Amino acid sequence: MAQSEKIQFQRLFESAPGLYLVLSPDLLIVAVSNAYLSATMTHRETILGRYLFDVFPDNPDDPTATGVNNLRHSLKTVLLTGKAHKMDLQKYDIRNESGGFEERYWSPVNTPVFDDLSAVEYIIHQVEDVTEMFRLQKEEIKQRDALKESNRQLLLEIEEREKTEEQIEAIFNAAPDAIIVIDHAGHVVNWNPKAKELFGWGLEEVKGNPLSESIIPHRYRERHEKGMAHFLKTGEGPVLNKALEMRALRKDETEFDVALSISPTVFNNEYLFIGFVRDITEQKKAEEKFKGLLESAPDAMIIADREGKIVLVNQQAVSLFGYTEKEITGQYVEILIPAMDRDKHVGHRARYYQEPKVRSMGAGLELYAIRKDESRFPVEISLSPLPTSEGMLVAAAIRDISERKKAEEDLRQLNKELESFTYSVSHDLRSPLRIIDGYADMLRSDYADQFDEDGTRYVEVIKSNARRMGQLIDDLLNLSHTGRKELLMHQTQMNRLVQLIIDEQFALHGQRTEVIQDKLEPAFCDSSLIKQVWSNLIGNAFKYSSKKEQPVVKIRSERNGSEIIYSVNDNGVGFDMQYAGKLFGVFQRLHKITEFDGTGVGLALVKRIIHKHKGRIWAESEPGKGATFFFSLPV
Amino acid sequence: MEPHEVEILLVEDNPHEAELTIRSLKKNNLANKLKHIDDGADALDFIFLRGVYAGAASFNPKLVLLDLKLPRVDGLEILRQMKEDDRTKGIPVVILTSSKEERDIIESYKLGVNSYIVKPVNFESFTKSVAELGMYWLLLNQPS
Repeated sequence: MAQSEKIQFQRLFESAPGLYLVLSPDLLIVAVSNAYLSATMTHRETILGRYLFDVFPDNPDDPTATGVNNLRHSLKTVLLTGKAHKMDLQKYDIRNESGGFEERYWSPVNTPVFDDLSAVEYIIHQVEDVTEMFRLQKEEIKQRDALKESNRQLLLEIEEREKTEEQIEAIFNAAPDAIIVIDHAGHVVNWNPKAKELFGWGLEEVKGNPLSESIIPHRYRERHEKGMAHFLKTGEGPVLNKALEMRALRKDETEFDVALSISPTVFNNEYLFIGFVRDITEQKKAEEKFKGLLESAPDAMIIADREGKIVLVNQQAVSLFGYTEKEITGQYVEILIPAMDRDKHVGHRARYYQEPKVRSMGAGLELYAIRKDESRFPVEISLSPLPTSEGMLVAAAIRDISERKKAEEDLRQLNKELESFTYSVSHDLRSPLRIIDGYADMLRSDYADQFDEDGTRYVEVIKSNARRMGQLIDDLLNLSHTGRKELLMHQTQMNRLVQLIIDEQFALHGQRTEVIQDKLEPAFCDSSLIKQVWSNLIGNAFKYSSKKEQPVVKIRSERNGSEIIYSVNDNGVGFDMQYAGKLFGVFQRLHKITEFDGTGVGLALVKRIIHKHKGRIWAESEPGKGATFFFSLPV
Repeated sequence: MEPHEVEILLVEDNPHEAELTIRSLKKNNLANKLKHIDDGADALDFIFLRGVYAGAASFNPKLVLLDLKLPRVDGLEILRQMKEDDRTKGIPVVILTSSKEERDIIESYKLGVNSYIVKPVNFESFTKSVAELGMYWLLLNQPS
C-alpha cells in the first residue's frame, strides 16, 4: 500500500463513527478511532504506543471494579483461540481531565486480525458506550418498582376499606341503639336490626318511604316535615347534634319514650341524616320513681349540677321559694341565696365537689335563703352527693326554720321573764317572810309574859314555817341558777371534795355514822356544782340512816368504759322502788316532813347538775334496807 | 333630825323591814342618830342637801344603809351618784337587801359599795348581821 493510501486509510479508520481501539498482541495501543478518544476522554498522542491497562486502569475508588480483569481475560481468550470474543456488559469507569473517574458502562467485542501466517497480528477492540442506555434502563426498573409498590398499597387500602366497611356493617347490625338513616327528603335509606326490634317495622317495609309515616306519632308529623324543610332551606337545625327526648310510635301504634340524636352528613352532594334512637322507658320510670321520692321528701329539695345549675326541684321547693318549676330549672342555685353571700357560695360549691359527702351546709352558721319576692328566711340545709350517669349532682334538702327560730326566740324571751320572775321572788318573797319571822320574834320577846304554853308554841310554829319557806325559796333559786349557769370544768379530786362534805356532816350530826370511803376516781367537772351533788347525796345518806343504831355510809367509784360511776350507799330507811320515778322531781318527797326534814328540791338539783355534765343518775333501794344513789360522769 | 346630825341614814321603803332593822340596831345601841327615808328621790335630796333640805349645813354620816328596790330612784342609782360625787364618795355605803342576784352584787361592787349584805330570813341571824355591820362601820372603822 502506498504511503498516501495508507494515510488515507488511517484517516478513514480514525473517522469511523464506531469506537475502535487496535491493540498489538502485547496489548499496546496501535490505533484508535476519534469516537473512542472522545468517549474515553483521551488524546491520541498520549495513548498511542502505551500499554492498554496503564491507560485504562480500574477505578481505585470502586473496590468492586472488575473491568481490567474481565478485559484482560477476554483479550487472552482472543489471542489463544483466534476467535472474536463478545464480552458481557461491563462497568469500566473512565478517568476524566481532572483525574477523577466517571461511571461508564460498555458493551465490548474483541476481534483478532491475522497476519499472512494466520497468527494474530492485532486485536480490534470495539466498544459501545451503553452508559446512557443503562441509566435509562435502571430508571425504568425503579419506576416499575414504584408502580408495583403503589399497586400493593392500593390493594391493601382496598382490603382495609372492605374490612372497615364490614366492621361498620357489624356495628350497624349489632348496635344497642336503633340507627336510622334518612335522605334529604326524609325517606328511609337504611335502618338497623335494632330499629326493627324497637319499632316493629322491617327495613324492607320502610325503605324509600317517608320516616314520618312510620315512627313519628301523628301529632308530630307535620312539625317533623316542617323542620326538615327548614333545615334544607336555611341549614338551621335546632334539634340536630343534640340529645333529645321525645315520644315515638311502634308499628302497633303504641307510643313510648325515646332518647334521640340526629347528625346530618353530606353524601354524594346530598344530605343524609343519621339518627340514633334509644328506648328510655325504663329510665323514665326510674326518673319518675326518683321524682316521686323527691316529692315525698318533707323538705324542699334542689338538685344542682357541677356548674351549680338547678336540674330538678320538688313541689316543696317550688312553694318555698315562690318560683315555678320552669322558672327555677336551669338557673344557678345562687339565685336562692341573699346577694351578699352569693360570691362566697360559688367558692363553697366548687370546694364541695372536691370532697363530696353527706353533710350539713355551713355548720354552726346562720343561713338565709331568699324567695322570688326577695323576702329572706332562715334555713337549714343538708347536702348529699348524687352520682349519676350525667356526672356528679348535688342534692340539697332545705328546711325553712323560721318557726323554730321564732320558737327559740320565744323561749329566750320566756327564760328572760323567768329570770326576772326569780329575781322578784328572791327579793319580794323573802322580805315578807323575814317580817313574819321578825315580828313573831318581837311578839315572843316583848310579850313573853302574856303567852301561855300554847301561845308560845303558836309563835314557834309561825317562825319555823317562815324559815322553812325561806329555805324553800333559797333552794328553788339555787335550782334555777344552776340551770342557767355555765359549767366551769376542772380536773377534780373527788376524795378531797367528799371529805369536806363528810366533815360538814360530822359537824352537823355528830360522829355516830361509820363512813366507808373508797379511793375515788378523779373527774373532769364543775367542782362547785359536783360538790352540791355530793352534799345532797351524802347529806341524804346521813339523814335517812340517822335512826339506825349503827348508821353506815359507803362511798365508792368505778370506771365503766367511757364513764365513771360514783355511788353513795346507806343502811337507812330506803324507799319503795315503785316511787323511784318521783325521786328526782321538784318538791317530790317520799317521807313525811315529821320523819325527815327537807324541801324536796335537793335531788332535783342533783339531777340537773348531773345532766348538765352529760352524766346519768339513778337509785336502787328496798324499804328498810337502805338505798344506793349512783351518778356517772363522762371521762 | 338635820342632815349634819345624822350618823346612820337608812333608805328602805318597807316600814316593817325598816322597823326590824332599826330594832336590831337599837338592841346594840347603834340607832340613836338614825334617819329613815322611804323613797329614793327623797334620799338623794337629803344626801345632796337639795329640795326641802336645801340650805342644810352638811351631810357626813358614818354609814348609809341602802335597800335596792326603792320608789322613784333605786338603790344602785343612789350608790352611783354618791360614789361619783367628791362630797359623798368617802361615806361608807352598805347595801342591805333580800336580793341574792349575782348581777346586783357585781354591779354594787363595781359602783364602789363598801359592803353588800343579804338579809337572812331568820330574824336571829338578821339581828346578828345588822349588829355586826353597825358595830364595824360605826365603832371600829376609822374614816379615811
